Amino acid sequence: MEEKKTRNSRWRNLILFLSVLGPGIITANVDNDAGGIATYSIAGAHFGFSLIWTIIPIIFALVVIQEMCSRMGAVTGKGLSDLIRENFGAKVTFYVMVALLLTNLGNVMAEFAGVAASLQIFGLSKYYTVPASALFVWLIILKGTYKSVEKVFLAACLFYVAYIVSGFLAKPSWAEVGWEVITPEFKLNTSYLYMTIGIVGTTIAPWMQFYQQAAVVEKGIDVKTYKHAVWDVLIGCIMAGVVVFFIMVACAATLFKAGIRVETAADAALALKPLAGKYCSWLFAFGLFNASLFAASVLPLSTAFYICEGLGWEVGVNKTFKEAPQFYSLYTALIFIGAAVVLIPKFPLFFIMVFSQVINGILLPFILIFMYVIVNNKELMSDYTNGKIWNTVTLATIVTMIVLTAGMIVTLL
Amino acid sequence: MFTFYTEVIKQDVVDRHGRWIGRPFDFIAKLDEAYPRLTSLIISKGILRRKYYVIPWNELHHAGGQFQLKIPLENLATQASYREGAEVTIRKNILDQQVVDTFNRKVVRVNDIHLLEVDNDLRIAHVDVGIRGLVRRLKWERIIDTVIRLIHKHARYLTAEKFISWKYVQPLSIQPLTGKIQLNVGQDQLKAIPPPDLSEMLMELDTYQRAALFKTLDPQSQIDILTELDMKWQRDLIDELDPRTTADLLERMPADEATDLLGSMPIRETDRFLGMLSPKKARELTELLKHEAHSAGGLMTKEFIALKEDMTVGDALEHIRKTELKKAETIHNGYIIDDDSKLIGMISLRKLLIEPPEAKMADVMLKKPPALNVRAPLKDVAGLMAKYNLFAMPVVNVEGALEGIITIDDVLAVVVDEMWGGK
Repeated sequence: MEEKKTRNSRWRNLILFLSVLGPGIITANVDNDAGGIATYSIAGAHFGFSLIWTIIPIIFALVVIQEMCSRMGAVTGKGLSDLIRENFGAKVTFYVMVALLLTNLGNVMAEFAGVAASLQIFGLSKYYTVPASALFVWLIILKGTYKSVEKVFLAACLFYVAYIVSGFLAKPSWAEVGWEVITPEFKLNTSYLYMTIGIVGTTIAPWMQFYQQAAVVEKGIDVKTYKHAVWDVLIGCIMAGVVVFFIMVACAATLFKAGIRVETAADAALALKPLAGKYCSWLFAFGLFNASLFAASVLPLSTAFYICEGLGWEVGVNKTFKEAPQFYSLYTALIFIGAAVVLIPKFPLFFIMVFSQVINGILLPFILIFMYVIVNNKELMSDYTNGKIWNTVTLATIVTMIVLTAGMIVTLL
Repeated sequence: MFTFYTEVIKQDVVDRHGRWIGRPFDFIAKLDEAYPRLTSLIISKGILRRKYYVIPWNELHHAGGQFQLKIPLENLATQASYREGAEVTIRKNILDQQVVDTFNRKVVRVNDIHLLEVDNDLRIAHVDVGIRGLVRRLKWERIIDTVIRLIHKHARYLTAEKFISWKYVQPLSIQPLTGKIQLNVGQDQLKAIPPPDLSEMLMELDTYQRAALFKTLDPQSQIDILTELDMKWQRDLIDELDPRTTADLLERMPADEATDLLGSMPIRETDRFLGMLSPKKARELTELLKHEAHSAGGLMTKEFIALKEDMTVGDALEHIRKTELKKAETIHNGYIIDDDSKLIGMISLRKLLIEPPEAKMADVMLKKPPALNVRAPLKDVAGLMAKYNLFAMPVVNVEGALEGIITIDDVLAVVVDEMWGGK
């Protein structure tokens, strides 16, 4: 009788887990967007193995942060922008929303830059590819067919396996990798700091916190089903971490070793040469295009969502333009401006892909400060406030990011 | 004289001698009147370890754009927290919070509060949910107004105030002790909102607000709303109610809706609730639960008008008025059954009203009416009802005995769901 009970409960747990699956895995995959691929590629190509050690503390912080967002969503049943509005007031919320809007606009630009860069490998001009993909993204959200397309995007994320295989085929000296990870070298120059902030910013992007919490609320996950949501977060973050690791290793083992500097997508594609030989650029283009388009479908919509929620405007694609003008305007503007900027002649595509992630990293500590106050508020979270370890990790992340940003600005002067 | 919360919060608080003490941090309000009075003013001191002065309104003199204490400050003790749980404060319960606008039937967020100054009192008159309120909070009202006036002198923005009178506002903050929302608007006002609109509003709230607002409704409204919601939300709400309340709701709900709800629960819960119902209802629901969800048996209800063929039209009408009207789901048709409950005829209410009262049922009824088998799939149900232009269709078992009727609203809901994926 006892054995049967545990077997049944394990099945029940599995089914419950599958039903709450999603937010963590999706967030992790959209995490590896154009900005992500660009940043990790350059990190590996220009710095060799010396930045790989950052992955460990970053993924650990990511798990903590995403878990906090899930917990806040499960316990309060509200989104992050709602919580900020209700606890910090309209004025603070407004400025946070403005910062979020600008940061996410940068991210959207990076996605369209990714589209342009990837399809340039096939010789397609960005003046065709970018407007076409902008229109595509705008329409699928408008028509509400995002959910069906989401599955396609997710399936295409299997592309990242290519990096894992390449990483092994490039035969890096694993001893060297291990050594560099264990003995991190802290270089205090601008480019090192810039890259570190970028890696943090692309892995723990502020928009991901809002997205995770909103997804948890939408799925109706509450304190009872919350345990399973934690597994979803954990698995998603580990998946993301593995992919990041292999992108960096593959780039370091191929590009850094050969002294190739990454200026264009074709350069970054060479990291896949061990796997795909002369087709490496096609494979890379495919992956970058999928990642960019996926994120371009998610970002403008969710940004418009949180901003309208925080400022008390109507949201929802099931409402008409007249009913929810700010929502539609924001979402359209994000896509339109993001795409238009990329069309400027000689626009530095790879630069914007990395720079937007650095902006993410600079904004991150401020969002974390709000989260820290909210998640420790006993009135809101009752028994589910942070434990000491979680608080320490959050504070450490906040302090580290502020110090890194300050340091980077100092070295620029 | 009207003023805004954003204005009042900037005013100085001075002591008896005119010395500056601080600025208002918050206000406590008493929500028992049409235009609630602010009853206390709160000042906060300190940054990390905040302490609060709670000043009752009768100790204040509000004039000349400032608040003056009537009593010495030393008489007041500071408190670590100024909310005793049950009290309503502007900052915590109204400002920046979501409230239900029962007039426009929306869930909105409060940007600012429009206060009425009368005698020494400040009373809440309206909440401001418009963009001007937001701009005012940001302290940019003057600049934005000037800029817009330069561009477009008659812009709508300049006069577009979005105020909602307080009597239509239902705050949603939940009392931590009782878990309930204190009703501000009358029960009739909430009842006046059509259930489909009210359920849509409930969807915009978070889990706790939804459950708390739901609990303030009377049982009939609760049933009306429950049946409007998707199954997932029905289950969510039921989870928040205690079992006795749920059992009461199931008892009063139309049988087909109750069956759907019970059918979606795990078997253990279904059995538990069936055990808490009256024997009659439990029997009825158990019967219905036996059928597959999307078959005729699964969609039907047992609450129909049953007549005998030896009745006259007059008898039938009398019978309907006395006994059947209360429990029948639809009164479009009456069904004539024999002593074995076999369906032998059908008569529409229209016919019952037209025919002379002495006419015999056996003469005026429609003999051998179209009927569905209990196992008939959804497609057949919908098809037959469309073919015969019926509002309701009888459902019989293999022996021809009348088991129940299916009404068009249930069929339509399922068809819409199948074809277009939900409301």
